[in-house]
Amino acid sequence: MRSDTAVSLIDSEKRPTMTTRILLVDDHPIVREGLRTVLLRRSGWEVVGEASDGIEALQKAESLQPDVMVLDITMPKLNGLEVCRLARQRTPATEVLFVTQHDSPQMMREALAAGAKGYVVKSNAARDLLDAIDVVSQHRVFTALARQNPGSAPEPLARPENR
Amino acid sequence: MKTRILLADDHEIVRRGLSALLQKHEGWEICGEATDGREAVEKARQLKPDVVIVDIGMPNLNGLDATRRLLQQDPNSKVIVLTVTDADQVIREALDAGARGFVLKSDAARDLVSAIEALQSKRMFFTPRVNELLLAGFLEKGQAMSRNHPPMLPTLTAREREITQLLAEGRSSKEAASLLNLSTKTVETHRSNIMRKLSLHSIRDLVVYAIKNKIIQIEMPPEGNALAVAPAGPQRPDSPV
Repeated sequence: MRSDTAVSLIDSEKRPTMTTRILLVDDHPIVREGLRTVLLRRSGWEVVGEASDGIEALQKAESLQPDVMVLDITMPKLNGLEVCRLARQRTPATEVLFVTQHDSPQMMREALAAGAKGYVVKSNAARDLLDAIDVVSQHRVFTALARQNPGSAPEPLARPENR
Repeated sequence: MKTRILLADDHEIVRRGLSALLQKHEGWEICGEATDGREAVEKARQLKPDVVIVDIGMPNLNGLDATRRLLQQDPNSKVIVLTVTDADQVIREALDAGARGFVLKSDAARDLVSAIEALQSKRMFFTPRVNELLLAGFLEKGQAMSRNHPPMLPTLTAREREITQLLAEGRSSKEAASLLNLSTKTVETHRSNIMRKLSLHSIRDLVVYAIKNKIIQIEMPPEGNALAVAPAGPQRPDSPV
């Protein structure tokens, strides 16, 4: 027997699950493997490709059209900031999330100015990556520097937190 | 019997990647993880792993010093050092510290498995690029010595190096004392000795020394111009010791 509730249930079942398609860019295969391991905790996310330098990143962004490009800053051939600028022009549907060693507000500002929506520090990547991809794939900004954490307060601590 | 591996790296992402890579290997298991050198030494003591993989650039106790401690604790330790830099001096120090494997992080996916297999067979392993550098290094050594390069590190004791690292990372004497289970006064005595031995006059000088001697790691911005040093603790004004 069809009721309004039954109809809306059927509608929501018919709506396709949107896979978030992710391109991983980092010159260290170990880091890419680590990112992949963390990302695969979420069903509905798919790593569609990897790149190990800036040029390859741009090529793969164009051919794969990912929803999110996870990008390192320090890379051979073309650094991440340049990749971001170019990618945002050429493949504007792809959002950029930086995962970087640079725990620096200035670098973060530059990254956002280059068109990135996300900026996360590698030391906290395992913790922040999932939230970051969630937010960035919805075209919103997500940033998390290590210094902003409650753990790294300005007063000296008896037991320092990890960076 | 499985080969038991202890992983020490301060980045969880890297540990996840190493773990994923190594667990694919039949007969190997990750028996523990550590996020800094101190924890690595402690866990090695508890877990007695077959192989320890140590990142050079860890906070609190860096990989080289941790390697030394590991070998003091157990001379049969099989330590593989993971590093982003293949600088000549770093390689030599890693060897002097007792590491018998040296792998570049960028090549880890390719080389780490071979490194572990080598060490398990009581052989050494150097990432191929390092082999070339070692050879070139031996040739250079003769020239460098004739130029009278002073040995930089041997002038500090192990404890002094430890304290140098903590201070250069931005910790106060009090914080360092707490970490090392020493009194603040003891740390401050060490600090004066260090500054005197090295003829340094400020914390900034100490930071420069620590960077030059790879006691702490720095991050280079993409263009390689200004240095970006990320201190672990609060910023303090440049003050004479």
